[in-house]
Amino acid sequence: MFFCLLSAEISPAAQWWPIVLPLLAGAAAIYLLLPRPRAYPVLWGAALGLVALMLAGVLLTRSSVFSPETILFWSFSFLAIIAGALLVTQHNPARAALAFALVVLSTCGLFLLLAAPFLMATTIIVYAGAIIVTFLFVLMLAAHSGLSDADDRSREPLLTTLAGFLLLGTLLFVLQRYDQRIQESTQEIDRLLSRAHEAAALNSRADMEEKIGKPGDDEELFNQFNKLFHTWKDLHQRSEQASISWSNIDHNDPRAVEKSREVLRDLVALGESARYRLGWLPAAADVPFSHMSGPPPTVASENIRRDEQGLPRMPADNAAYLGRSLFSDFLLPVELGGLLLLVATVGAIAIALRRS
Amino acid sequence: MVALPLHHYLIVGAILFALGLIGFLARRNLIIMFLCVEMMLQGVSINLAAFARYRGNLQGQAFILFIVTVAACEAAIALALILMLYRRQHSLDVSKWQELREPGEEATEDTEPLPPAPREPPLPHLTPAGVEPEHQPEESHV
Amino acid sequence: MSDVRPYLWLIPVLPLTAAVITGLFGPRLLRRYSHWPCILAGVGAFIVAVMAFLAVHQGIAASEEDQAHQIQVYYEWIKVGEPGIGRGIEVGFGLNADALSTMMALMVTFVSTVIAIYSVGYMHGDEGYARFFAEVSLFVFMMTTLVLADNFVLLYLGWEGVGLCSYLLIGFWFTRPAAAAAARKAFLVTRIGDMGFLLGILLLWSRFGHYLDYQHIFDHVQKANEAGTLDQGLLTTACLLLLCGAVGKSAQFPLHVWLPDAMEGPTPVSALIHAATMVTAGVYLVARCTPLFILTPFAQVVVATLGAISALLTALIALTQNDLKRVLAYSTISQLGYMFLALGSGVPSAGEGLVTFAVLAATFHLFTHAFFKALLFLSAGSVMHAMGNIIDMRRFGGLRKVLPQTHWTFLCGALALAGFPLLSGFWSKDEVLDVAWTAGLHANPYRSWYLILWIIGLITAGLTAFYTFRAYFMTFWGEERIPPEAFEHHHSQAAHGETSHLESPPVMTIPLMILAVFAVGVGAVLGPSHLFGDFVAHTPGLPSRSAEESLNFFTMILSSVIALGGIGMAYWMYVRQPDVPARLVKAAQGLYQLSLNKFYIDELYEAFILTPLAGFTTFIRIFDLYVLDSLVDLTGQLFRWLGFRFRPVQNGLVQFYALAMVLGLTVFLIALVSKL
Repeated sequence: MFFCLLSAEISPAAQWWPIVLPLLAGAAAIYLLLPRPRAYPVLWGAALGLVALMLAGVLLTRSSVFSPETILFWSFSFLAIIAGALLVTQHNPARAALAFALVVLSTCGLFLLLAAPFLMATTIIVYAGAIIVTFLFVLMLAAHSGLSDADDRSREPLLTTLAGFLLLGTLLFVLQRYDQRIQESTQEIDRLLSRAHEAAALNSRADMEEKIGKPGDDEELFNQFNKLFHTWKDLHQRSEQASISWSNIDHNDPRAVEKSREVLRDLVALGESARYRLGWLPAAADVPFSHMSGPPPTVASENIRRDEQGLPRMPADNAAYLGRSLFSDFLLPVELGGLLLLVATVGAIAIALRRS
Repeated sequence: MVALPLHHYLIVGAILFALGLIGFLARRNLIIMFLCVEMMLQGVSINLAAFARYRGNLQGQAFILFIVTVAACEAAIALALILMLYRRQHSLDVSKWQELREPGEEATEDTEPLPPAPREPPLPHLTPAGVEPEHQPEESHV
Repeated sequence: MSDVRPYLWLIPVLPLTAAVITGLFGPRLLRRYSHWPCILAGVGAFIVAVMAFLAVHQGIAASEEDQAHQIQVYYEWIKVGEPGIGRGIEVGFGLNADALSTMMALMVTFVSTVIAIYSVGYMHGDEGYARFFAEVSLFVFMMTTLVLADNFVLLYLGWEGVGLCSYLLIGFWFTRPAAAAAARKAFLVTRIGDMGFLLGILLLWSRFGHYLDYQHIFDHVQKANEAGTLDQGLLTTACLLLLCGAVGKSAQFPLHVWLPDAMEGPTPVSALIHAATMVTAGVYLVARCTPLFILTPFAQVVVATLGAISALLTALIALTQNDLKRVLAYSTISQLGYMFLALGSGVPSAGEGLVTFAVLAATFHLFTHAFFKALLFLSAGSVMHAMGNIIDMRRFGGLRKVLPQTHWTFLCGALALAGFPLLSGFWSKDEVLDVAWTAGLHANPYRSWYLILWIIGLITAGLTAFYTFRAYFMTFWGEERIPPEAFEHHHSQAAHGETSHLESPPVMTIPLMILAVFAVGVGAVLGPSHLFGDFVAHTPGLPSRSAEESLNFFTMILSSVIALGGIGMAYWMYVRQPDVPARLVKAAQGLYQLSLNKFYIDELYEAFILTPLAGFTTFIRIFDLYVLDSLVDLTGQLFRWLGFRFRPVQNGLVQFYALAMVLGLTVFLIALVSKL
């Protein structure tokens, strides 16, 4: 039913098989690997899982850039996913705990890639250090009678696998739509930009007008830009201004061509900045946050410093900025979190000390 | 266009979340179930970190800190509860706890027999520390 | 003094307060003092009624229209739209003080107070002492609301309220099956009439100007009549529907069967509700609606005919009854029939003045009847009280010496009822017959019919005198016979045969004497002096009187002769020649049985109405039990079955529940995503 719905939305089969194929392979792998009394050979499941991962890497992301960053991303992601699959499928809880530690470590690698070194450290200390150790303590306390029967059995393996992968499929579908839309917009901007460049290269005002199109027509360049910018208010405003100044240029003015080129150059700059913005999330202007955790939402987008990829720059002093943010914008939540920790400590002690 | 678009990170987070979900639903050891829940939280954390990065501010990271806090509390309480449950039933099997079913309904039992466990290799016998090991009197060839 | 509006509301509200107080605190706190709120409220209401009466009287004497007819709306109850325009409804707790209503209020509060005092002795030691006085107070509230109301809805409220109180009080000793059955019968039979009354009110509202208060309806009908746009058929229907209610409440011919059975209640209740006040509500209603009735001669002749039939029929039944209270009950129906006869005979075609005269005759008879009938009932109650609740006249006799005070008061009442010359019944009955006679002489379409009705009235007068004195002589004359229950009742006096202590206590006999004075004198004081007539004739809506009306000596002498003849006949048959009745019974066995069995009317109703209805209800019951109920059960069983099928879902496994949650979440997400 799910895929019927999808195909009703986006007709060609090519749209959804990149999702379905790796999902099916992954679901089969997890189903085969889940512990049960008469287990399937581990090799089948492992092979299927690897196939699923490869398929996902190739079909879902279609990335062709090779840089240290991408290579690191791929390794950490694969490691996290494989360790996660191990955690789910391991019979022995102690090994599962170690697999979880691996998940945490690879997640921390991703955190580093995402410019969050403080979080990386915290997560390693809290999870890999504290929680895992506590888990192992409990395991040792509890499991001194050996492995229990329950570790060799699963509850409804088929249904649960299907439910989990159905949910994953839905999420992936949404993400794919998002990616698709970004790519479409990029192509659209590129097309418009090349038109603008071509128009700017012409030598007479009349030729330019012919290139750009009749005013009022949908195909006109300024209208196309306006339509494209309708989600960015500031760009939209400026492209409309450009449109007005374009129509205000007098034909008989000897400097008409110069002026037109100037307007077109402005338009190109607008398009370039829009192209930069694609793929990162614009901050909503009405979020009541200070500048402590980054540029405030009121800063105009072209005033934000960016790296060469177009992403906004993060503060280098991560821990300091995070601390400032926590103690300015998030002061009350921090206090509440501390209180929660205290209550949990008291509660855990009270529960664990109760003798049956 | 950037080399690593946002949705790559989101896909990794979604996969971790789904795997944790499957583990939580299928596995019957309380501790593994709990680890799976933590893994779901990891998936969410990756999402938030990616949002922070691509938004260009630290709010997402602050959220992750709170997630870590809550996870720690959760772990403390859950482990205490697991210990208590273990004391009652002497098992970590979550299916031992099914008294809240409809009255008169049969309890869900495992029917399929397990294969015979492989024989565990014998543990090496070590001498206790602090005791002088017994040894053969050395022959002296003085 | 001249403006009663500020305190007119006290007349109904005082008894209501007493009812609430007695009802709440009676059984626990007041106990044997429970009669005090009722009596005090009755006295208070009576005083206010006297003040209202005097104010209206003053207004009439000074011919100040505003003072003679005072209306005050104390509280707006229902208001929808604008009355009169576009189907509006406006109902308020509006009270109306005019000649008719103040007269009625005066009578009601006076009689009820006297009877309440009497009840202190009669109900002494009863288990439901507090309940009795609470219900009597509630009755007085409802009755005063009924008579003082200025619109039909409030009148209907009081109407149903007195019906409820009547039901409660008839069934006062509800542990006795006969009392419970009688209460049910009274309630259901009057309900038939009430249904018609309600329909009548609705018809008046919907077809005659969308008003509910008397003044506007009467004006509207009057104007329509003058303009010639009056729908005669509709007005006749409306009047007959109103009459339907009056017939039910006043126990007239087709619906009279409940009143004799209502004697199962305590005797003060019989006196108050089923003789003096509530049963006259029907007469009051028709008198109040005279401006409507005079426009439809057919409705009027129906009123008169029903009255005459009831009068004659129940007089014939009363001839052979042996139960003292039943004799009085039938005579009540008979006298109410007289009042309807008078009201129906007030035809405008026989002179405008006759209309007013008819209303005067009816209300005057109502007024005097209230006193002497209450007196008779209370005296009968006194007899009953003394005889240990025995009321069958064959079981006692010659009580003249045993109950001297009761004997004298009963005699006063009997003479007044029989129409003995110069006593109150004489004057009022004479006026009734006079009206019928005038109508018989001058009425336009139904002249000879009215003459027949007049003759029926004369015959009934003779029968009335006869059966009243039959009861009197059987009870108080002849050889002294006292049933043994009388002595069981007074167990403290051990000596059997000691009869001097059997007379009722003063708290009972003094009200009897007060009523006796009124029964004897009120007619003579108010009748020939035209005091009553001059007052009530100024009721708004009645045409002005003509001067011609005066004492009609012809009917006066005729009715005196007939009354005396009836009394003499009774004396001859029951005192002089006690074997004559038995011989007569033998000679006319069929007629005797017919009368004794009340013309088999109850049996006819049983055979032709109740039995088919019971059959129908049995059918419906079976249909409901086996068809509808099984359908309803099927609905329940279906879901029960489904529930049992789904029971295994609740298997107590945490992971199973979590799986269900995840599946639900997924479905929700898919639904969201499919909109993308």
